[in-house]
Amino acid sequence: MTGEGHKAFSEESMLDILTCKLLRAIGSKIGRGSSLPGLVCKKIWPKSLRTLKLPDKVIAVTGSNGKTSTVALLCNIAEKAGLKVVSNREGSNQTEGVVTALLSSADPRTRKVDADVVILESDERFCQYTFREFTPSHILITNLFRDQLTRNGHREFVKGELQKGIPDGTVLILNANEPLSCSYGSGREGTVYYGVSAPELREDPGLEHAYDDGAYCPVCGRKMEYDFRISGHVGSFECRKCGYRTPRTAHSVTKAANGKFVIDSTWEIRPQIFNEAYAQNISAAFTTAVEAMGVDPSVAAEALDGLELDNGRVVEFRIGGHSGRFMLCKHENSMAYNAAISTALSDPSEAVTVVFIVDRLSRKYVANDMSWLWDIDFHRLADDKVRKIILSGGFAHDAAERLLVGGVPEEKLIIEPDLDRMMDDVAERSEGYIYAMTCFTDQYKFLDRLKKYSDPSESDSKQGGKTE
Amino acid sequence: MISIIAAYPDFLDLYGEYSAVRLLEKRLACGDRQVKVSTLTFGRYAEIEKADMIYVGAGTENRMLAALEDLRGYAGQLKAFLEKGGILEVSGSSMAIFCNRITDQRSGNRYEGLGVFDAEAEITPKRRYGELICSYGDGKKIIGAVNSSIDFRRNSGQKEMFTVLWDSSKRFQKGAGEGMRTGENVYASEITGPLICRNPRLMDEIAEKLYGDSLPECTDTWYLEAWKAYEHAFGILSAESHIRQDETV
Repeated sequence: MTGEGHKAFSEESMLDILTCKLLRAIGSKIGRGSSLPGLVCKKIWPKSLRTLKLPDKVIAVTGSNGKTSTVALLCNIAEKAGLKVVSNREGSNQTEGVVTALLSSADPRTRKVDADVVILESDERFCQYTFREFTPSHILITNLFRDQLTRNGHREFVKGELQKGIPDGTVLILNANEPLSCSYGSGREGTVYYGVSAPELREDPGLEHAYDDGAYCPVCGRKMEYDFRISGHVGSFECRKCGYRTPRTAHSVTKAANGKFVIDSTWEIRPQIFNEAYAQNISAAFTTAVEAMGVDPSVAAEALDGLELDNGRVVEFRIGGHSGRFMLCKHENSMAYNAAISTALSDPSEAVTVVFIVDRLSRKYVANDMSWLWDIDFHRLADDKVRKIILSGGFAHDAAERLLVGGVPEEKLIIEPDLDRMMDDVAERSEGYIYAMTCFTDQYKFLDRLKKYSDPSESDSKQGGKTE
Repeated sequence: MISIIAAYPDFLDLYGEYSAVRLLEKRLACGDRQVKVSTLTFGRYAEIEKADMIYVGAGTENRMLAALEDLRGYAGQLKAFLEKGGILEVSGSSMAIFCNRITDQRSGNRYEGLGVFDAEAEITPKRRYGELICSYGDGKKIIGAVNSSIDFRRNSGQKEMFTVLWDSSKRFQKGAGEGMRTGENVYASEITGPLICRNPRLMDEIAEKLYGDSLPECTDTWYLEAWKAYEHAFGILSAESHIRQDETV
């Protein structure tokens, strides 16, 4: 896909690319190599993306959850297929991150981006700005969940904002099981759908959620029905009033057993994380690779099989004689925490301890909104398997109020706002396997402190950490 | 038996506001008072005239408009409910339902509201988020957030619910009125949080109205944790705004 208005290169028109490359080299030494160069170049040369020569395949990945993982999976597939990839996989997904990735990969003389395929993660509210500059060949929209509502308001608002960033002519790849984002495909020819239908990943029909974003049809507003649900409002839906329903998928995870996902009843994949959220990521990446990048399904499956992404989202650890797993979630995002709670509850051991830390809402903005706690299915932690729940961080009392009102027995709770004392509690009072969950913002408050408790003789795990 | 109607809890379900009814239920249980919670929603009727309280939580703008159309069918019952002194508590965008008129800038459409408040509402295409400290009564403080795209304008004579002491978004000036209040039984605020969960004193006061007498003390852990959470959050906002508990406008 070529940017419009390409003009003959000159020394001046090389400057944006050269500046970006230089700033990227400097920025990477101060930890701002993925966004700062693009920010500077965008200010000086606001239209420079328009004159880049991009490959035919420019795939953007957006949506509330699963963007980063799906981009990483896609990049791995593309590289396994022998394709040269340019991506902002370092995670800066606003316009400046895209500018950095593209300019720093371009040849200053030809302005050609040196890649067979460009794979870009894009913040759902920034698509309207980023894709003014060029038109992606494909946009994969993973889902629209309740996410960062202090910034995003609500899902309907985000849907409208993202709609402004979908150019005519771009092929959409949509999650057939998520009703709101799936509705972008209504009346849009050529749309590709992916899904998860594995019976093993379906929710117990009696499972209650804190809220139900699938209760009403996003098209006509009437009551919606489900054949099955995967998680929350994600599932096989149908509105009997207007006929809006889960569309036919190009590819789907049809089975999930023995630690494997099976796609289209054919392709076996051993995933890094065996849960319904990751099954959607796998299905999204497989479908996009096959349908948008033209990768052979066997190559895509082989690339995904046993793939372990080194993104720090899951860290195994030991503390106080207990094994545990740290799971990176997102504050202000109930689906992320619900998936972590499901993982903890599906642990094969008899007893688990859950550690939940909420100390600061965001690194990027100041907010103290705690309403999102009421959207998480904390009531599920009343399960007998969960023996202890350790709540910590400045907002531990808000979490305690939420859990107690949700019906979690008081005797399970250890409420310790102080992070150092919390670590002592984790070491000394945990029962069974430990599941620790928190957000990017607070992760190192746990992982850094964990180092003090680690016993190298009893652990060969990847015990992560980084200074706060 | 105290009867509370949760209006459209499956539809107007943003920002955890559904939990207000659950907290009131628990708070009243501390006073050994049983509560019957009924749901009023599309295709499901609840006996409005017999209720002691109706709670309407926050929803998206489109859902708020849809709920308005449904509630219009119960306008007569709602009027009788309010005349007998039933408590109506409304939060977030749903405050617009009870205004005189709603103008939707996005579509240009205008809607007649239920006219419980002498005020106008205007849906704008822009969203705003602000954290607030407000006062009410004899200087009692509440905290919370406004996450909204609706502008409200009270006509003269329509009382506000709170007085704004600080708004992080600067949308409200210090001393401005927030929300609406009519008599001693009709309350509405744009502030969510959820409002009742984050402000246990306000929860007590609403519960006491339903209780009809002096509300017994509550020593349940969830309630004590609610107070600690309030004090922590007030401390953060106070450090930012320099508003103290004893501050008045």
